Amino acid sequence: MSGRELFESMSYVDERFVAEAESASLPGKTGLSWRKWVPAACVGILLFGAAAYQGMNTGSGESLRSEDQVYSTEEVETQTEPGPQEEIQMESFQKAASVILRVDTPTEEGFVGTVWELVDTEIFHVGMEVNVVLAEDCLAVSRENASIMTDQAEQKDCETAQSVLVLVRFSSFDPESNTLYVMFISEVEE
Amino acid sequence: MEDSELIALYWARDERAISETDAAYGRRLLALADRILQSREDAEESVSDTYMKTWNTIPPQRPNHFFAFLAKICRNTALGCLDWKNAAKRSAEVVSLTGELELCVPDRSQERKLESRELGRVLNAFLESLPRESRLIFMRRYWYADSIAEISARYGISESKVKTRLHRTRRKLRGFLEGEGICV
Repeated sequence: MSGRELFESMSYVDERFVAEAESASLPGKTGLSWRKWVPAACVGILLFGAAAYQGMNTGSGESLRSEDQVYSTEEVETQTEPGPQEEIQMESFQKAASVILRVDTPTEEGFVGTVWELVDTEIFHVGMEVNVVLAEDCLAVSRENASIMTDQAEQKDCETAQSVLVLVRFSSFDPESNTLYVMFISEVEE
Repeated sequence: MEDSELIALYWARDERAISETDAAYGRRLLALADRILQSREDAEESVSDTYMKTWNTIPPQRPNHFFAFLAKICRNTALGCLDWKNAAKRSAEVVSLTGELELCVPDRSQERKLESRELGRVLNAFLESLPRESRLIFMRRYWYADSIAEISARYGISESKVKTRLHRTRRKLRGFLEGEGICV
């Protein structure tokens, strides 16, 4: 038998399999279409948050404060400083975005991992594969830890490597390439 | 137009059947033929032949899955037109696909030799035994000749996952064919 004969014989498989492969989607997967909306949704949420934050500082958001809240002059001055919107977005994003990953395969820039547990972000789903890139300014101790972890994953067999779990905090996520840009990483117990 | 209406046009020998089929499925059939032949002109010819063969086949046939029925004819027609030597020179995708399937071929010392049609029946049993996700990915790759990137985009999974799943399925197929004692 040759690969060509096998390929040609595929023409004789049942039509229901052909139809299924044309029309069906994978369970729990919605194709890439949803991914197009993730960045837009994130930007929308961040802009809304930033607008609400600015509104509170300019007085239009007074009603959002409880009556017994008192701001010091210094605090008000700090809050009313027109800081770059990107900084506000990044700060709030960094605070929110942590996830526990299983280290699967080491790469030059970090490793390929699988989402193990969601911590405080809903943009992933458990079992999703992600490429992790350790940022240049990632904490030195964390980079070292990560290196040890990925080495362990490489040396151990597949079953053992699955037990290497890490908590990562990331600065950004590119849904097109499933890439996480990680600022902080630490090993966690399974 | 619904598939049942299209089939009714063929049964009524109404020539609109072909133009309506082209409107409904022409683009997808052309993409399929083009992936195999990598020539727009040859692909268009294959799709035209597909319509003629469909016209000559319905009636008496009344397919349950009309697109699959068309695609099957289109795939066979395109493979019939394919110049394998020329495709090998061009390093066409279809050649790399057959190369991947070569890895599923059991030891040649085994005795049982099958015709393509009978091998198709064995493949049916194999596909039936697969988990749905593996089956879909395998079919997209080796039936529709989709690239890894296209499968990844279609199902919203990473390319590495597609490759891993295909690798495992090929290994299973090899074991399955060995189990059947097959050599073509």
